[in-house]
Amino acid sequence: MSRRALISGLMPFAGLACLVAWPLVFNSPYDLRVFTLVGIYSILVLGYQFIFGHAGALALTQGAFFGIAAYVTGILGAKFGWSFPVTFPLSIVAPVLVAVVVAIPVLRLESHYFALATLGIAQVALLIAIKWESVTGGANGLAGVPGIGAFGLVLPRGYPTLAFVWGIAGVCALVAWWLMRSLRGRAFQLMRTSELAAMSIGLDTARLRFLAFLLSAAFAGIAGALHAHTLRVVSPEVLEFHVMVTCLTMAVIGGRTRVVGAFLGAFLLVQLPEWFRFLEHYYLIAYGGALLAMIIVAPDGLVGLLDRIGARLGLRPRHTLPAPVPLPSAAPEDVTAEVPLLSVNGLTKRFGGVAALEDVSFQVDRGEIVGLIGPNGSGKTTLVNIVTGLTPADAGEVRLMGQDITHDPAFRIVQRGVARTFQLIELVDDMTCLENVAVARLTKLGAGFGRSRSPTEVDAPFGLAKRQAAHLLERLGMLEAAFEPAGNLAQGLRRRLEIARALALEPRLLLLDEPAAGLNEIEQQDLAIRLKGLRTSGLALVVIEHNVPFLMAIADRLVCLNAGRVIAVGKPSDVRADPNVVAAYFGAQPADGLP
Amino acid sequence: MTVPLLHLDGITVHYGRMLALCDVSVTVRPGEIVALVGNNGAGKSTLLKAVIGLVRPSAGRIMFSGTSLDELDTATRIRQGIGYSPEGRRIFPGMTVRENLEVAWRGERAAARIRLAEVYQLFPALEVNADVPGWQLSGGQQQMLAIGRALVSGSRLILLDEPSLGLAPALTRDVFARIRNIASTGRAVLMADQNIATALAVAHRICVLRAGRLVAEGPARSFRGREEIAAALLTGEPNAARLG
Repeated sequence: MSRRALISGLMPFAGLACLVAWPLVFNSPYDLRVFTLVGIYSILVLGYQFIFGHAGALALTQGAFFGIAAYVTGILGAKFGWSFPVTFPLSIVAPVLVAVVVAIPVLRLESHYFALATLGIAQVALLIAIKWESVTGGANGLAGVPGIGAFGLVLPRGYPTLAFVWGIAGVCALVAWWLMRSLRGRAFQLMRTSELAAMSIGLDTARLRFLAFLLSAAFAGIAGALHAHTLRVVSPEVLEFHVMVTCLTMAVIGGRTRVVGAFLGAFLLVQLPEWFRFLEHYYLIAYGGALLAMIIVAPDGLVGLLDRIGARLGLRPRHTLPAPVPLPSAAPEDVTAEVPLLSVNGLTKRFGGVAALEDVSFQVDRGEIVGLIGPNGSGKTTLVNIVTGLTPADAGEVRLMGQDITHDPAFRIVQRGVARTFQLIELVDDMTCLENVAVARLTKLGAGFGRSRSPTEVDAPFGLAKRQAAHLLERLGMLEAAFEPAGNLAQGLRRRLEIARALALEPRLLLLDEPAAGLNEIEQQDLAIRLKGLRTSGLALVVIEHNVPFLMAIADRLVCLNAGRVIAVGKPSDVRADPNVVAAYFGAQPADGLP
Repeated sequence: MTVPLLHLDGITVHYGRMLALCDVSVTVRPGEIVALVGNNGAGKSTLLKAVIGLVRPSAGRIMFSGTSLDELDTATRIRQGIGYSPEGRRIFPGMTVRENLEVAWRGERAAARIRLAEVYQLFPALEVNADVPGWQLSGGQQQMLAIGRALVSGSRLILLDEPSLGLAPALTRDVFARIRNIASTGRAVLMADQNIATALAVAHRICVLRAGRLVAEGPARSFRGREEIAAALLTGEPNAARLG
């Protein structure tokens, strides 16, 4: 083991040692309580990372979930005298139920509307806490919340409570880490970067976001309950906006998606005011200044800063290329060959008053390569968007192997075997090529949250997905770029990477939107050979392209659209010579060296 | 010999530790169309970005009609008379087509109106959609708009990054005819194109970039009919799959 590997291996243990040493050194009752709060806030932020970090949605409900749980614990404990084993699960269930109810109308909203709506929910909760005096104790809140305990025994303040809270924080951290290291963790990253790309690999993004929201609420519930037990008091303060702001700041300062970030953020934000206490009236200025400085120095959080320092020191994880494993060969189809793979019948689409598509019909057979040409704005991309479920059709139908898929959601159509690439490439730039492809194996491998049996074991579906991704990269001749972040690649390789990701879905039909754009002649030839090689497995391709020489070399048939109508279908040479096509698309002039 | 409109002298650009351009010198004279050709990641786009100031060279000088651009920011360089059509259809999606074109207006209104009419003549689809927000355009129409914005500015030097990307063949021809026409009035064009045949057909001079270095330069006609030579220049490595 090299010295560097040793250092990076020892880092987590050094961190853990600091964690244990801190309460032993700073051991006044007050210090211990502050450190217990660090643990509680860490849990809150770990939860918030699901919705804010992983799902990328600015939810402002985390404070409300926290407060609701604190009140559930407070009311059940102080008013009814129920103890921890009963109140704790109920305090987790309550915010989760609220999240379920709230999610239905709110989770569909776009960014800032979503933030505003969630903020409104928090305000309602605060109002209820203040006004419903008979239950909540009104503005004074409830005193006499019991400590953590069971069967008449109560954990004393100080070390026992601290140890318990940190024990739970540790479990939460393991759970969060375990959930997110699976393939689905990468799926979140893809969804955050490009919703379009996430849908294109068959992810039900609404469901993913919902899941993240519920997880956030559950973690907030744990934190809220522990908070009430630690302070032994519940007051409307726990529902006030500053809790939310603190949580948000912790996530931003610590790091939005990494477990360690939650702890660093919580530690710093809870401890900073204590350290600046000696400044008395001016402490807020110092506090604000410190946070500002931190955001400038470490814009991607303290975790990002640590990563950069680690990279500077050469502490980089070493990648070993997984042994490529081919994808399972497609099961023989039980559908009669007379039914075309894809049939589009009478498709019509209008945007405003403009007809983008007018009564478009064509078919694609198994193993066929169909080129789709037409002047700019003739409806080619709209047609692909309708077939893949991104745009609803006004009239007409799309059938895949005889089954009507016209009204299926995009992710379902992908699962039925239709994959695509985009005109403007949609990849996760800071994810490696290998992972960009591996993530598309998610729906096929059914990799649920943390499928591995133990937290230390390598996530099995993810491991397999990487090996299959390596096979696909090899097939497209870019295995040597496996560990390169996709953002570092030149255009031609990015296009190929997108094709590799689409192939990872084991499609029956692959729709490519301008795959040769931005490639030079040599790269075009290379791509043409690879595309032709794909159909040997029965895969059909629909290729939108303006590069006619490229299309002529690979297509079995051409379909030409003009102003939303099909004006020619047939053998490439026939369509190329069709007077209507020449007039609408190629232009009347004779060839003069230009393509 | 005419005074160069643009003179790049020993331009070197690093992205982090990666060397994107190494000691590249290129000259563009008034009325001239110069095409940068080269592999993916050869540095064509980077060179254009260096001219417009979106990328800071670590060495080298950029002179534009006798004055140094080195210390000027992008906005100032554009005001000096450089128009830029970036790769990948960077338009203002929330603005209408007409607004997208009008923000690029420079100089006299009357002259700008004539240039706007010329752009509409070149791209009738833009005139039809003049009041449509940019995001509603198809991919190819967005490309027209990006080119149109560079043309309407009336700049003395126009930088075009992959202008033919996503355009139908008939339209590609129209665009290049228009570029020829613009050059004939004494304005100059520096363009990057992936497609060697296209570059040879439209440009007066070709600069071949490979892995960030200028490896060949000359009149387009000296490359014509020797496309296999140009192609060989572009590949070099046995595996065309090179990292950018």
